[in-house]
Amino acid sequence: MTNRIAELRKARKISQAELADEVDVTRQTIISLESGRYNASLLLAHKIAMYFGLTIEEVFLFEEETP
Amino acid sequence: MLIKAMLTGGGDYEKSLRQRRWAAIAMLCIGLVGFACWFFLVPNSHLSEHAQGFYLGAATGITAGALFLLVRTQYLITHPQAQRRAKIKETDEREMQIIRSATQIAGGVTIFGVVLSLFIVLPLCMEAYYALIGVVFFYTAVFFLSNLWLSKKL
Repeated sequence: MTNRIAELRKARKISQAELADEVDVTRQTIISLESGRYNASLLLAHKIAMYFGLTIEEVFLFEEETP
Repeated sequence: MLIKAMLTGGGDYEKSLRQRRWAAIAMLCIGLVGFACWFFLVPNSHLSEHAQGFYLGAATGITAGALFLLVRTQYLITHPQAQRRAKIKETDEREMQIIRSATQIAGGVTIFGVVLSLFIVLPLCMEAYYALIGVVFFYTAVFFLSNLWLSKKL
């Protein structure tokens, strides 16, 4: 799973700390999400998508495994 | 840390803090009882110096830990900004996953260490062997019981 958090955040000119504060997580969690080291829970994905005014699928990109 | 982990979760962080304060007070009572025993009962007992030292050390450790937890929790209850920062830090899902994984690793490594020690301890000291085998049985029982409970709960 990849995500567009960094891209959306930069487009809105907000810092990682500001985004973290808005969705009630630590800045380190945002850093890990953006770098793809950590996958958000459904609840956090929902909060982040709501913050950007988008759907979860528009922020988080699910890649189907190819057989 | 264990009290913090046990009493964090759910939606109401302020309720967690109030529960944590009661836990700190209960811990403080245990520490003070330890001090009272060390002061009034231990000098007249036939306990070895080693056992007497255990009373003082345990009472000091528990009391100091309880006081720290009590002061910090009271500070968080009365300072909303600090409470918000602490809430974010303690309920952050990545932090919680890290703690869960670290606990699993520590538990796994410990039980492997205990099983390994059984082979070394058996020819040396039977009491230590029984204590270690008790730990292995306790770990296994807790694992199966918590597995059963979680299977029904989730």
